[in-house]
Amino acid sequence: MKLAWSTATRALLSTACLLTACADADRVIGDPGIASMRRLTESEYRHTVADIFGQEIEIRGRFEPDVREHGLNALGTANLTITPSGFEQYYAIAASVTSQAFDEARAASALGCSPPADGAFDANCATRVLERYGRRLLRRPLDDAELATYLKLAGETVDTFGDFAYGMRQALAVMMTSPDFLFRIERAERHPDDPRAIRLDAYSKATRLAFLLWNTTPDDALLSAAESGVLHTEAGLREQLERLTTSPRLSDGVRALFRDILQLDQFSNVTKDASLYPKFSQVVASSAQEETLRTIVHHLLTQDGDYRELFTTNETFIDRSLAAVYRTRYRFDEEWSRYTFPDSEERAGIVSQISFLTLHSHPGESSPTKRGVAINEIFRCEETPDPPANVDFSIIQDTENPELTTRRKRLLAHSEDPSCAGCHKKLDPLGLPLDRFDALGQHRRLEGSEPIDVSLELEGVGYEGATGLGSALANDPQVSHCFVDHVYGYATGSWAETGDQEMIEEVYSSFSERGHRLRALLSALITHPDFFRPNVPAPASRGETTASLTSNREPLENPK
Amino acid sequence: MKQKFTRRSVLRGALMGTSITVGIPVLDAFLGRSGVAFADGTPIPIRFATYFWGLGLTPGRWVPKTLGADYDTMPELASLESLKSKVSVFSGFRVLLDGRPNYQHWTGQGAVMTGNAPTINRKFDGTSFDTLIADRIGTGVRFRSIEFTPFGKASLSYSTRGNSNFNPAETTPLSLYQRIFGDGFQDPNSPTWTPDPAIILRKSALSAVSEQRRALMREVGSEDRQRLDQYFSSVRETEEQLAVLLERPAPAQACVVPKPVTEENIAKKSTTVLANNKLMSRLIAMALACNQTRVVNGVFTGATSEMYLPGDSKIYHLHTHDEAVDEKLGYQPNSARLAEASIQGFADFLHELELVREGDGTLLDRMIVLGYSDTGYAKIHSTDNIPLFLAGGAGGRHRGGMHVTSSGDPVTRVALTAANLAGAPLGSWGRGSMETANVVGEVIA
Repeated sequence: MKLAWSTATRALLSTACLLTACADADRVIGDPGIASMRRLTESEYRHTVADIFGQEIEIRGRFEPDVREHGLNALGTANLTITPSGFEQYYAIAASVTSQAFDEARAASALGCSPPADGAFDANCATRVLERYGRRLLRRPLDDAELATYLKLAGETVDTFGDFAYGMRQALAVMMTSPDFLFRIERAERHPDDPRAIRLDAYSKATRLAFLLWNTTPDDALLSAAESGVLHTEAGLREQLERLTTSPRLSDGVRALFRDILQLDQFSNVTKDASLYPKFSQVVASSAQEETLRTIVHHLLTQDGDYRELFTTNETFIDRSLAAVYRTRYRFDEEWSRYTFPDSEERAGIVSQISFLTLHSHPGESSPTKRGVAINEIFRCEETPDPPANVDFSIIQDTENPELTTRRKRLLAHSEDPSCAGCHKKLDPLGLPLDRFDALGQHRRLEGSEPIDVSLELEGVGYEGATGLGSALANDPQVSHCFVDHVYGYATGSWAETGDQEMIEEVYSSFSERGHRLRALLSALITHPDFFRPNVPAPASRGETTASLTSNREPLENPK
Repeated sequence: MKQKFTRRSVLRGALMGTSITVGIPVLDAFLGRSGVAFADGTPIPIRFATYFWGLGLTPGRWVPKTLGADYDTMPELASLESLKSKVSVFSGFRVLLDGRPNYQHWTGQGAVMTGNAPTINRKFDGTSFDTLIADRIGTGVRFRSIEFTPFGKASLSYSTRGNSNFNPAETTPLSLYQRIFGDGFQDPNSPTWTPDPAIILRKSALSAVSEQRRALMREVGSEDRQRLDQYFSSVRETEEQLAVLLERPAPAQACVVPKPVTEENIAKKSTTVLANNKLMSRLIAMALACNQTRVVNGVFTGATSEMYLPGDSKIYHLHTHDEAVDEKLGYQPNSARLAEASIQGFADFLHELELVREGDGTLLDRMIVLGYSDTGYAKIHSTDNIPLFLAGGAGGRHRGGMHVTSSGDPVTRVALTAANLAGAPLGSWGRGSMETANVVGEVIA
């Protein structure tokens, strides 16, 4: 239902619009309406289907590629649309999903009502099916117009084919290609207590929570909390937060968060030269990702550990295929088992695991520079500019130089070049300490006949190898800040750099005061009074104040 | 008011291993005597393709020393030798930056495809010109365009209708086969045809989606409006596609439906990339011959190509930067070998089009293909002298076998020429100092 609003308000908001240069939008900044649209990621889609139609449903087809912006696919989703071939694929996937969900074996229970046996169309039963699935698929109840559209389509299908379940399959497949399913659409509504303010509507809030914490569509309890409006109250929000963060399903959300931050989707593009790395296979590639995610979930959720210790821990999980790469015997019956790296392996934290080392190497050789760039971007939120156009690499490529006999020596000599020094001074101390791990993450001590030197100095402090690097990262406040930025961006779809600095700072303070615990971070973020503030179109240039921001701020429902 | 502050001031077996048998004489009856039109007088349309490879070619090894017709074959163009009379070479064309940065391995292809140097890295400013051509010549067939890459990554595509939304590429011979010849494919030469009721249904289902357009557009701000618009044009395109499937397809004389392919290993070793490229090119040739699409965009490797030679641990991109220029040879030897492999990919693509006989010529004779790369010299990321080729007869309009050189004209001139030859003249093309209405007349017959 759209609320009428006064001419005075419109005039006020139009002024705000002028101040922030909001082009030709019909919808004025601060208006109710669509506040943001984020295309579902493949992972969100898969979890949603599994939740609604069952774990056993197979998803066959190709998804539109995600695009990473400022380090996160979650930020790219806010700029993506559906291409023609993507639309074709989404329909094929949806049709395959619904045909499995309503096949002969499953139809009766999936429908939940009994249509006439003669194949006639039963509008009551159809309405119930569409409303039930529609609420989960669209993350809100169907409106009357939508229901009428899908009923008509289902009716035509049943009339043509004399098969009720087929009609439902069709209607739901089409629903799964509609913008309201393929995009997470957040809508703003006028605040009932303050006509100058808008807020996310309750279903948008439920959706944000569900995807952030469980990486899936909201469940019935969340949707009910939205429907009753209780989600708008502080107590109601805290109750849902408690329920969602104490559930084992929180690990789905945390895995998705870290898959995105660690860019693990890039693994689909990793190949290794088989003649040099015969142990590399798709099995190793997928186990390596699983190792890192298990380490993270175990440390951050099961142990409720300090985020910074992810860079120092020598505890991990391995399976048989990883044991071969780590050159240890696998003596266990289970598929996965806990494993502590011996000191001789010189490993510390997730950057010394196979997944990171493999992903940030070339097909045939390791790369201190790639690893340095990756650490700086992924864990320190610093993007590295392109190297100068005409770099003189003659030092690096000259393997005959009697003085510069190792990668390290050549790289450091190259970094003396003034045009390269700016970046390499930052990157080399991050990448070179990992040089005792090859392009598959296998430990090595020698390069040719020379021992690999992994001692470094950063801002006057010396450190050595992966363990030294791990401690340096753990103690670097920028690393914890960066994590907060990533969680903020992942949750809201807004880049931290242009986002709500005040909120990010406050959340960071809570996070650091409470021992860098992930649950503390999530709780501080979600209960922050500005967390559900609708996204505002970016102002003309950064640093300008946005006149409409104050009117967008949602008043506290239950101020203490 | 809220003060903003920042703390940061601080098949194998594919097609069953055989080459496609081309030409079915009995179907020639469908063609008029000239072989360039169907019996009912409808001309066989010109088809258009772009084909990209990363990291350019080697200075001194590809630009012919002679100008005009029958240019001399340079070492890196050896694989194109047998098609030389159908391939024009363009040297000396460049990207004019108009004050924008040279985004390494991005600006070049952006400028060739969209007519200006991109403002933002990893994004294109506007639509790519293949989509404009597709809107003109690519309607009335099942796919407005098909994108493919043998390099395994769906995001390797430079075809876009705006922003960061690139039309995703098919990445394996199997996925390409299924897209073209899987569900929804109707053999144009099948003796029987009945409309599929499921398609009629699907078409009415799509209108259920289209109906939501008005309501959504009312609620959306300007930024998201463009994205929703693109979504709904994708819906419309699908509706058109279904409309095509509800009409009996016109017979296609050169169409021979390929046998199903099996999944191929995707790897970045040059020999594997080339093998997959060949399989995919063969499928693309049949997609064109079977009237499934009229516009194709191929990407052999990404612009920072990770392709490597068998037995060599270094990838192509690294070689272009790390490898010394051999003093005797005058160039980077491994980089040059990888450049040869890249142009081989382009040549293989063209050869597959040439193998399909259509009327009194070949499929390639009725195509125009723009071959291009991102840089004129990868070692220094130069956007001068970007390698550009036009291949195919364009139905007699293209005078192939020419070498045209320029002293720094914008690459947009070649793109404009390609569009004209494809039968989709753009009038003028490009923006800023790259804007041009000046086609390369030397290659117009």
